[in-house]
Amino acid sequence: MTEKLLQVENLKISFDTGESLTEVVSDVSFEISHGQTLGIVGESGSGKSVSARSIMQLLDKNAVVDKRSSIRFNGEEITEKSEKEMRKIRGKDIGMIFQDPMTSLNPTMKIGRQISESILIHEEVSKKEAAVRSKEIMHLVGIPDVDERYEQYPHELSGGMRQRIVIAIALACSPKLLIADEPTTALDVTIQAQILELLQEIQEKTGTSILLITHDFGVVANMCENIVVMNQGRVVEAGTTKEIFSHPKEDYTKRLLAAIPNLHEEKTAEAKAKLMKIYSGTQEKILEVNGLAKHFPLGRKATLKAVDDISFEIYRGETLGLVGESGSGKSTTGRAILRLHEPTYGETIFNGLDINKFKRRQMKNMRKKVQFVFQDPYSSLNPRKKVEDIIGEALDIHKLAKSKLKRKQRVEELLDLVGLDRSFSQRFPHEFSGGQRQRIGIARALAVEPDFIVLDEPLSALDASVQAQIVDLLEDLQRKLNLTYLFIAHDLATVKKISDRVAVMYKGNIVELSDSEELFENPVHNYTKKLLSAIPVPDPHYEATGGHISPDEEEEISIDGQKLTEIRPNHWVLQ
Amino acid sequence: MHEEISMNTVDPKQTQQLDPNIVRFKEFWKKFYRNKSALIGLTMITILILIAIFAPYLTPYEPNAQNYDALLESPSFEHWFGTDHHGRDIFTRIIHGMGITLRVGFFSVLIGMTIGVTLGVISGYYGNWVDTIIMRLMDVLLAFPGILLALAIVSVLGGSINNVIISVAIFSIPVFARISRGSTLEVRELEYVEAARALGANDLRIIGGHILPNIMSPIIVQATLNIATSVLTASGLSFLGMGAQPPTPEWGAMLSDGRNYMWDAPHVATIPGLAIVVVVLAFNIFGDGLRDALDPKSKN
Repeated sequence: MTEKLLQVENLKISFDTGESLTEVVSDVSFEISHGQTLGIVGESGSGKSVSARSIMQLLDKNAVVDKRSSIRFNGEEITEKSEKEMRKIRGKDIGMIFQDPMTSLNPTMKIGRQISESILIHEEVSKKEAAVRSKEIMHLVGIPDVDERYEQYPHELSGGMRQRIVIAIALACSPKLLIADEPTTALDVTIQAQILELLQEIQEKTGTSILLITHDFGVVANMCENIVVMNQGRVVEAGTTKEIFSHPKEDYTKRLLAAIPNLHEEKTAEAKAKLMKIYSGTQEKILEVNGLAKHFPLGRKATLKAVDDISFEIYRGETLGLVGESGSGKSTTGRAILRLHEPTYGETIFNGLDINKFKRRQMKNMRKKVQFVFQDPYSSLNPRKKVEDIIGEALDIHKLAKSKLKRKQRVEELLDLVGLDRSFSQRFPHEFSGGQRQRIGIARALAVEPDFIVLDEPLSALDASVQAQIVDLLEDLQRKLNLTYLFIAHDLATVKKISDRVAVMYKGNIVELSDSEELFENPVHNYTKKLLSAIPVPDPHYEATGGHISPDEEEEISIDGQKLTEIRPNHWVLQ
Repeated sequence: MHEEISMNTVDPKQTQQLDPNIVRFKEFWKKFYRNKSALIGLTMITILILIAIFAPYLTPYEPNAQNYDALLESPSFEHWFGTDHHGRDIFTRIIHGMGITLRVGFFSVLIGMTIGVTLGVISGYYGNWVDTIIMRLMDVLLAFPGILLALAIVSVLGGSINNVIISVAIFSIPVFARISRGSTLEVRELEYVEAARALGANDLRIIGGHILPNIMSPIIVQATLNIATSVLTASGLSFLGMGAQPPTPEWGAMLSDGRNYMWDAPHVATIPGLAIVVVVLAFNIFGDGLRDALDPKSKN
């Protein structure tokens, strides 16, 4: 029998909370052969990151690894190694790629030094030699203008470039195993695709094994030969990728797979009818945005045109998806519509009136009609208030509840509406999970009985299975209460399911706008195409086309002086 | 880090019967209780307050009763801390002075905190020129050495305990303004503040309901630590003859009196000095413990 590179057996980890031990990983076993990629998939709290950290012996002090656990790396037992011995393994034999390239690089140290340092720690080479090798590795991870970049600091690079540097550091000593802990979660979709491609190519070139930890089935499908599905500290299912995708055995796996948005799903008849009504002009226009712009001053002369002269319409009862990468101005648009950011110029016509001209009192009334649901369910709820007061505040502001009892009843009604238990009203936000908090946020928005809700990335902080539940809830509410949504998201896959029409934003402009089916089948603008091709396909049989690393990821698509024109009926493109 | 977040999220079913306020306080108390020095500080403060309240019952003497048969006597069974140059019992004067000292400490900080936090929150919340004006004003106040500023204010207002309180309050305004401004800037950007605005809440509601409750922790800690500073400054003013006037049993003034007899009867000066040290120490270690217990970063 050939020795596996990594064998984890009966891994059991508990956290010491001061009074008792909480088991977070129980009886987890998996193995990786040389040159193989294993994916560990699980939602937050599944114990996947803790398991990976235990391989590096990088657990927090209060973590206790059970004595019977065994982690064998390259034929040696890691759990018995001292800190000093571990330090020799870390970085040399096992490299680690962290989630967020913003925080995993030292901002005060030049990039070149950060890479060469890990070589100098582990190998007895001269500084010159380390520099030469660092540059080779930078070249390997697809960084252009290596000599120039070598002397730069992390803040001078984009997020994608930074993640390449993180990978370069992990690769510096040609490790046998690369642990990638959610390596693409903090990145935009187009960059995510490039980083995954890069990891695959590195593996082909260097033959290192990769342990890929992710919450996204789409990511593992084309990357890994084998998958381990984890939930609540246990292995739910393990097998080859093809097996798990085509014949999942456990319910949990099936549920996770079902939660992946299907890009080729047909619209329901109901949705098609809605669209017909909009296009035929019989549906009432609820909101019209005319040449809206929001500029932020940057120092004395420069301005940041976060939103630059955009126009669109939203019809009653529809969901308009607004998609773009970070910095495209999509969130600013949502906020500018509600005047949470005062627009620089432009009109926002709601029910026939320009709300940008509203005085304070009119504005307050307007806030009963238009509401906002926020991205981060953790920071969007005041930690010092009970759920009852969080939801009830809207009733207080607009004097919608005549008595304390009425207020209580209305809050309970709203909790019912968003599928939460009534008893939750007396609790504080910290007692709830992300999905429950997001429901509270939705209940708060619904309290004033609005017609129109701006949803600013309401799913991006949630696990995939929870996302699906929230989407269902939103669709259900829309039908029941005849709501209109502006749904802001950073990836097209999420938007596809919920939106009737989709607008794609890029650098503060809308570059393409059409109904979601048309946009997905016949994308016209280069940027839309780029976004679409970057969606990871959750199908192990799918062969990636191209397969080369484009080092020019920051390639700019010029949109200067272009106008949104209707190239096909109801299909608008900036050109 | 996802794991840890969800580990901390209590399953709502488990805590169903508990009032969240009690849960929150219990968590705080657990951390506070584990910090032994903080507990010692709290115990000391409690004892000091009790002494101040029950001072008249703890001693057979009057604080200002002079006895020319017992001048500058060393500590003895009859006079635990000895007597001063007028034959007054120092122990009696110390415990009667406790109330004055604590009153100066509490009230000056309370006033300074109220004004400082108001200014700081307004400054941080509204920004722009409001911020510039308020913070430059604070910079001016901060530019003076604290005791010098207090001294200047007292000499304008005239020496009395109340004026000491006012002057110490003024000199502690900038500290609170700065802390609350910084915290406000942080909290102002959080989404729940934006959510309140989206609901149509006015500024007063946002500040009172969403910002103030969420910036109180660092302010409470600073207030506790500031009591120590205030006590020290107030005694300093009285020591210089600008604060409490004789025959008030104020520690700073007593220390000043005792200066003249340093060689013959050192206890007259050292005992008030030690009393000041004890109070300052008590509030300092209590404040440190409070900070550790309230700081979310020191979870363990």
